[in-house]
Amino acid sequence: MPFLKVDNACVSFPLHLDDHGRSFRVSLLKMLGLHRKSPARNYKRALIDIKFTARKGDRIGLIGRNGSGKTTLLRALNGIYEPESGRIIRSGQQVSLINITLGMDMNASGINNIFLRGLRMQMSREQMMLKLGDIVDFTELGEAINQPVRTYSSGMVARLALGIATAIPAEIVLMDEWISAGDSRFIERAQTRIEAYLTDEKILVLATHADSLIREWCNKVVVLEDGHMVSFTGVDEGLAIKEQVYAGTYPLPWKQ
Amino acid sequence: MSNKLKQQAKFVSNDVGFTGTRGRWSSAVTDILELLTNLKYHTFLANQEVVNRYYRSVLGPLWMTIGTLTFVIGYATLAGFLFKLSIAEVIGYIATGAVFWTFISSALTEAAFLYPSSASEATSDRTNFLALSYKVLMRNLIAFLHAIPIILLVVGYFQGLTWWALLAIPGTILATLILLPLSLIISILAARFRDIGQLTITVTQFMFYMTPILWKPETLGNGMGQYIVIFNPFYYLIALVRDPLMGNKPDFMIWAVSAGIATFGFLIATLLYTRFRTRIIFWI
Repeated sequence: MPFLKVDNACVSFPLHLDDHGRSFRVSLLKMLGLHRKSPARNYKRALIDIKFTARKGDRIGLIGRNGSGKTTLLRALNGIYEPESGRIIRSGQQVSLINITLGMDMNASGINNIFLRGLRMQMSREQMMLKLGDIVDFTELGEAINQPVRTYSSGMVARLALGIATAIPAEIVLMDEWISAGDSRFIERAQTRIEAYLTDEKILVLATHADSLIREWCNKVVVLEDGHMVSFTGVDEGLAIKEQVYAGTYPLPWKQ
Repeated sequence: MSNKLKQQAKFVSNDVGFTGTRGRWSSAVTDILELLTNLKYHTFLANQEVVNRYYRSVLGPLWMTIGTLTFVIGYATLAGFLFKLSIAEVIGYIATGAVFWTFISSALTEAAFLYPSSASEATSDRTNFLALSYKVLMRNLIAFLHAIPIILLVVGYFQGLTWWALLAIPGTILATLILLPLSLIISILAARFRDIGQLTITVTQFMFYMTPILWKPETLGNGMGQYIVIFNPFYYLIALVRDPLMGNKPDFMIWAVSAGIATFGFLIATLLYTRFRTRIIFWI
């Protein structure tokens, strides 16, 4: 059973990397004892004491302004950034759909890319063979599936990537904005496919600016502001809180 | 970051994929285990990169060898006139050394720019930096392996091969085991301090002339000159592969020192990687 718990997680970005005082030359001189102490390290706190728990069937929308920490939180959940304090506890196979074309080999054929992605997800050739027909049907690439991916149009690449991504079993799905995919007819097909993919057995975490997506796909909402978590509530309440935060009428304890 | 936070960070860390609390090194351990369990996959990717680099080229990875060999033939011809050496005598020696050096220097210089160039990949999905380093080393090793038949032909034709040549196989393996931690160390340091990347290029170029590739250690005489060879780790690396192919009996010193360098390298690399694994993403 999938489970995701964020326990007072904090993430900070170093801002001192470009400081002259912490350059290679100064560090070297310091090591040799020829330089006085370097200036203090300087951090931007990007996530501060984030705390929520997601269980099976939870579809969490991350909302907030630009720079409020949505993507950073998503990356922390993914394991890209590790919290310097607090913990993120996760159980269940996690798949990041942040960039679905990641790891695609442009010189390999569509078929080979399907197997390549399978290898990446540690699936056996036999397991992938079972999925192959379904993926190929969905992409509607026809003969082009045997051509190198670099000959594809961007819509074809998106179809292939989505077809592959939604065929890999996962329990926790991370998305940064919605997956964009091709023409209007395909958008509909993509919608159906993602719907079938995001069963109630899964956990979805979706970072987005679009209220409509939140209403359509999510049942819980995390509102972020300045790296702090403002609230963790149901959808309607969360969207209302977001509006208040944007308007500046919501009381933010760290601002008082 | 406040002191209280720092203290907390020491004792509580995050957890990837499992429940419970582990130390800060957990991320590095995850990477090591992932690399070991998926070794075949990462090697496959390395091979795929070699194939892709020479996509639709007829001679493929052999171009690297051809590049080195043209240089060797040119140099050996010149040296024949300049130093009154017979070409047949030195060409096998120089060819083996130079081709193996290409492996070493391209593995190290590519390592120096590896992490910053993987930034977009690393911010899209959790990336195993150790496996990235492994992949680059394997890619260069595979390119080197393509050159082996040509080296065997050159050496075989000009001076003949002995059974000792088989020792070049464990020699190559040990050399790779030295280069793995070395390239990992360079990758980590170069991600934090961008000058290290440029420094790596400069040092490798310099070491090409300071290492017995175009010349033999004996020509340095018995005086202070020998120290240039004795304290040069790259001499041992080259010797591991070249000596067996030249038909020399194995020199215990060379194998012992190489094993020492490998052990020391793994120690430093492990320390650096476990300490800084979680910081790398913020550096690139």
